[in-house]
Amino acid sequence: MLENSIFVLLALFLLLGSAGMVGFKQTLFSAISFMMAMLALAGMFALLDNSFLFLAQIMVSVGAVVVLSLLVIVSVNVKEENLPKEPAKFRWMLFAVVLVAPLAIVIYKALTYMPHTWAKTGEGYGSLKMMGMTLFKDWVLPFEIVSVLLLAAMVGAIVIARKEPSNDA
Amino acid sequence: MFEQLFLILPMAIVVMGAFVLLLLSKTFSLDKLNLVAVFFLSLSFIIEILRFGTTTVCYSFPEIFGKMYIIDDFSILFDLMFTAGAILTLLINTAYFKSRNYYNGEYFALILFSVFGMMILAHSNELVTAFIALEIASLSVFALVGYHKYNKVSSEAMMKYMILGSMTGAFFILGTAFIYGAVGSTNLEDIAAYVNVPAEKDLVLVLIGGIFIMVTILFKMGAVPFHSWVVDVYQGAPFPVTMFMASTFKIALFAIALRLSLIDFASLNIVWSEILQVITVLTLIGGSFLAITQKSIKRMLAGSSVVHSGYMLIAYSSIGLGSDMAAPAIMFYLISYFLSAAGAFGILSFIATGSKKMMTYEDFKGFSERRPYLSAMMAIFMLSLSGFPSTIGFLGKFYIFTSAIESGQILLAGLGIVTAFISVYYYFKLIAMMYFYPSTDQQKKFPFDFSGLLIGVMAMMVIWGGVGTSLIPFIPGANGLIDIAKQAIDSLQNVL
Repeated sequence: MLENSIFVLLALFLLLGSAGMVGFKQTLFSAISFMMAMLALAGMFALLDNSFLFLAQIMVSVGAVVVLSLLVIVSVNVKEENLPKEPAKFRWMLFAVVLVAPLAIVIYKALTYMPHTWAKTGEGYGSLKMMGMTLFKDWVLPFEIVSVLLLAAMVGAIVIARKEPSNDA
Repeated sequence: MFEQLFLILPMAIVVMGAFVLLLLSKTFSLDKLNLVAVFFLSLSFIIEILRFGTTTVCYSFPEIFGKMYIIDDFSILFDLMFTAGAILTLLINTAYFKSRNYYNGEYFALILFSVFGMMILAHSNELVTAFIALEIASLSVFALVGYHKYNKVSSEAMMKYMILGSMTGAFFILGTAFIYGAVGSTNLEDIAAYVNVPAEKDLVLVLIGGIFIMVTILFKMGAVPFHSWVVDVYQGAPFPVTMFMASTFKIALFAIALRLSLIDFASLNIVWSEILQVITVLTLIGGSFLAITQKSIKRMLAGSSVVHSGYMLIAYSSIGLGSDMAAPAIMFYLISYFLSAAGAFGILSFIATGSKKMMTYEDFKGFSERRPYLSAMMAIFMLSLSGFPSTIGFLGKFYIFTSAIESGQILLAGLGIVTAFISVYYYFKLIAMMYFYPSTDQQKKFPFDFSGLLIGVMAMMVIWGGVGTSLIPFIPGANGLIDIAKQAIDSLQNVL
């Protein structure tokens, strides 16, 4: 019973955070709502007894992604009147909700077909050690090519962001 | 040990080449970097071509990688196309990137990273690996599209492509999660075993997961409900990148799509076929409309590439309806489209080297007087794209429509033939502009260099693929190519 109520609470925060991220006009508020959603998601992982994912979620999504975007927002410091005007924003959002409703039904339907019997988790489930064993034993190839993915993304980002005064023409 | 290393050597060479290029990018000139990139790619190409047809299906490092990295003729044929596409892109555009000051050394490394991603995608026998490989390839292409960063059109194209691409990429991972939820594994063989054994199981979860994966694949192909980015991105990207995307990146998507539908979801194919039929009709009609309405040649070719996806989707939906010809037909069409589109975009970028304006139909008036050689080559590629007999494009369409009729989709085949006739309009308009109008400028002397020679060789291959038999050894003609395609598909189906 306790985990159910915790789950409902976390889900509420997740939904509120996601809605706030889309709904707020000020980008700072959006970023903080996003942080709330990410923290709630980390809580979900903790509820599943997966301590590694819980830590990784907080460190990467909250610690790195949200803080970095907050830093950008604060350093750019956009004034309220310079933000783009979106008069019919909520009407558009309603339209989008109607548009993606069938997709949501499909996803809901898929979830109801999930098997209800689960394999028992073994000793040390969700621990750092088990996570490391899984990554380096069963998933070596994806794990290794992720490094190439990050390198390619980094090179691409540097190429796009780098300023080259000689090429300004 | 060394045997295993030899198996992954082509892929390793490409990624090592990318690292070497990154290290050299500040010290070498663009010309030298280009040669280094071509050297690595052709090394990989040569190893693959020696291996094609001689290896049995096997996994690389099975005790370490599990069954994630598969090596069969199917993936080797795709590797050959990727490396050849990248080599052609680099060699034909040597003059182009020297004429633009926004190119720098990282360009070559990004192309090699992208080829590496596509090669892993063709070899991957597991959904998470496939997703990461797809992202490697697309992230490099995102950066390449926005390479001209001080150009608004180019930056806009990159942002559009990146945001839409990342969002549809999320569908792939969601679909993988659903399939994992049902099967308990993301390995394609486990999924196939789960799906193909009839029992009292609900396949709804696998089906929805498969549909989500298909969304990503169809988006990157540019099928019609997901096509809104195609024309703008193709136009915004620099010419060499457009050529790379249209000829090489598009093929990579069919690698994973064919592997999925032939191994993975073979018994669910009836359901796919219904969805795919609708998408095919939309793609053929919408793509034709896109292509007809354009004034710029680059945008017209972008629109027509949507139509060509539509032709391949005709055969793709025939797979599920029991046509043995369908899968080899797609392979053959991929080869033919690869040759013709790479040639057409190659000529465009070759011409664009000297001028910076957008090329419209009007600019091609009297082109045959100014550049008789190039316009003859362009005419050949246009004939092939429209499916004129005696070119490779005709045979490609012939096999596609045969497979559609074989599987009983007469209406779809009919629609395909109608759109082929419509496509004659926008392709022949260019030929008419080049040959039947007087030139406004004087004839200019133009240098005949290596790029021109390569374009000529490709035009010869387009014709040889349409009429040739195996008279000349080592150069596969029309029947040789379809045999290669069949061999590749056979190697794929031997797994089970």
